[in-house]
Amino acid sequence: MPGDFCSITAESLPQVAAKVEDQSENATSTERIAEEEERGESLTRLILRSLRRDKIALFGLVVIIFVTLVSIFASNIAPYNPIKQQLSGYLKPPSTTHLLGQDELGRDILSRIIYGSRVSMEVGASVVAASILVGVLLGTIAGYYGGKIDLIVMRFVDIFLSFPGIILAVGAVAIVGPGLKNVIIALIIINWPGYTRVMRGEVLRVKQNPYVLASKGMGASNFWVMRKHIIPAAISPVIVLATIGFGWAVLAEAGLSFLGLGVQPPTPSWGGIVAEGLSYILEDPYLALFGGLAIAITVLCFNMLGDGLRDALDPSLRI
Amino acid sequence: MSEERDSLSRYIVFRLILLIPTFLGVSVIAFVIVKLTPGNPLISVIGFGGPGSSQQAAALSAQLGLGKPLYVQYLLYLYRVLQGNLGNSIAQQIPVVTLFEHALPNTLILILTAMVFALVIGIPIGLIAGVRRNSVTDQVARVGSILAASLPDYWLGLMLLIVFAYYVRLFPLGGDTSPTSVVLPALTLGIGLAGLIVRLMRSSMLEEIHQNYIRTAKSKGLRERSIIIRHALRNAILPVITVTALQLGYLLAGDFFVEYIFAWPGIGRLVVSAILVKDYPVVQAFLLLAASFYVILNLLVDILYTVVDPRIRLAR
Repeated sequence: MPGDFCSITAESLPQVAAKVEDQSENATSTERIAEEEERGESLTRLILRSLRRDKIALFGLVVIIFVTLVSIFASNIAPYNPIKQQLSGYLKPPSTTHLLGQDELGRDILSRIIYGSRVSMEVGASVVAASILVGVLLGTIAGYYGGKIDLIVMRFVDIFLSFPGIILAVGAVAIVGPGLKNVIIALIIINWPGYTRVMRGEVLRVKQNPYVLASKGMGASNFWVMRKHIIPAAISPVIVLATIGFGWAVLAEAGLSFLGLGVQPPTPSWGGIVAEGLSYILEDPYLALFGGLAIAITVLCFNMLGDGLRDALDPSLRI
Repeated sequence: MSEERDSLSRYIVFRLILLIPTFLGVSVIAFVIVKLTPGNPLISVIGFGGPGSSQQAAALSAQLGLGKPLYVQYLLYLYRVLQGNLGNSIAQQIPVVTLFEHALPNTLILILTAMVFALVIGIPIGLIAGVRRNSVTDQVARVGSILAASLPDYWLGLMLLIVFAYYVRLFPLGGDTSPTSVVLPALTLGIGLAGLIVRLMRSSMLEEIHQNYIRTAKSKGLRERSIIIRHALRNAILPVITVTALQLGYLLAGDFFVEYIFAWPGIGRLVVSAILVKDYPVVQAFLLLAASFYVILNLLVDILYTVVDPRIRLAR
């Protein structure tokens, strides 16, 4: 209509731009509420729906469930005792009795890999659980309250993030002493700052939403608002990070065990198996081959699942 | 414009000031870690038993101020570090700084070669994946790039070693005896980075091929190959190379294992050997240097990004 046309042209360009921006902001915030509501209610459903579409991620999930079951039921599945030596079986290649062959002490490699999954999954689960706990707690508090608390928490995060992750873990465990407990502690110390940073960023975004302000306006306590509105809406990127972080922890533990800093012999661990394989690599490459394959396949599946979840839950992180 | 430059220089000064507490934090952690060592730290410095070890221990204890309160010990440590004294290696009885000086050039050669390999592998694959989006090639590239990031460096190195140095004798088994010695370790190190480059190159290409100038080139009737290589690639490759150059820190972590596997005489092997014989001064010095290197690298990356992309500054 001519009238409308005039009214637009009468306005200066910046005013129009401001109006458009205003409108689009309103639109996005409405969309966002719907999106957040959906996230809050059906995060699991959203994940399942996206997994059905993404075959690569689904494959990753299936293998992860398989490895988890293997680690839980290791004692029922393993064909042999993983630490029982049989010196006549020195570096025997794969056969029908020992499907993946035997190591330098005649121990069954398949059984050692099956039991080794326990160490990997235990480290992965402990590191991820503790990092999520610390990260979500500190990130939510820092992001929600802001001000001095935020400044202090984030300075600590910055200092820890400035360390070269795995190198710090290797150096620290080498000096403090090897062992599963020290490995887990070192990996948690490296990991929590990343979770805190991601959670804080999400909380800063979520806390601006009208429904959060409305809940506060209705007299809800800070704790209630954080628990009911902020954390459920801000948790998605943390889930993505945790999936990839699980694979990373498995890889890091294997690296430390490879250097002899992880769980000590004769307890089997995947990194330890590759390290034993290194000593006999020219005589019997199977030992290193199978130990490494176990690590690579598990980490690959966590990364595939994480990649799929990232696409589904957080398109802004996609590269 | 001058206001913008002012805010940029203020940002840089702010970040430089923040370096001081970060460096102090780094030095405290390096200091505390050695204090956590089980047993008598002097034994680990001098070596166990041996003739005259008790006099040596007393002399060293006085020299390092071990009888003094902890904070005085830390200040003494900091003082020595600031003078460039990172202690002596127990195993080799020479200053740690000298050891690092000898090893550093080899590590740099390895890392730079790995970077070149990563670019040579990653750019063409990423390019094809970007141009043929959602094709089989794209899917294979996606899984391949995730796989590259999932392989343990030491295992990949071992497998390459056994295939290309033992069964097919194309390269030497280890060390730096011939000019081709660097190929396998650099390839091992480069493959993980290549995975990242594939993803970056793919998304960068996707962004470019939807630009107007590409449409113009198409409407002029240019051949697809010429459009992609002469126009899109030229623009898409710049951010990829910038990001790759900033992955030095990532390569340093992998370098650790790769040098050990291939007996490459660089810093990584030096430190792994030190870990295996409990040569703590070398490990402590390495932690301090590696963390300082990371801090400075991160600062340069942040400043570079701020210069390139003013939105980062505005977001503050």
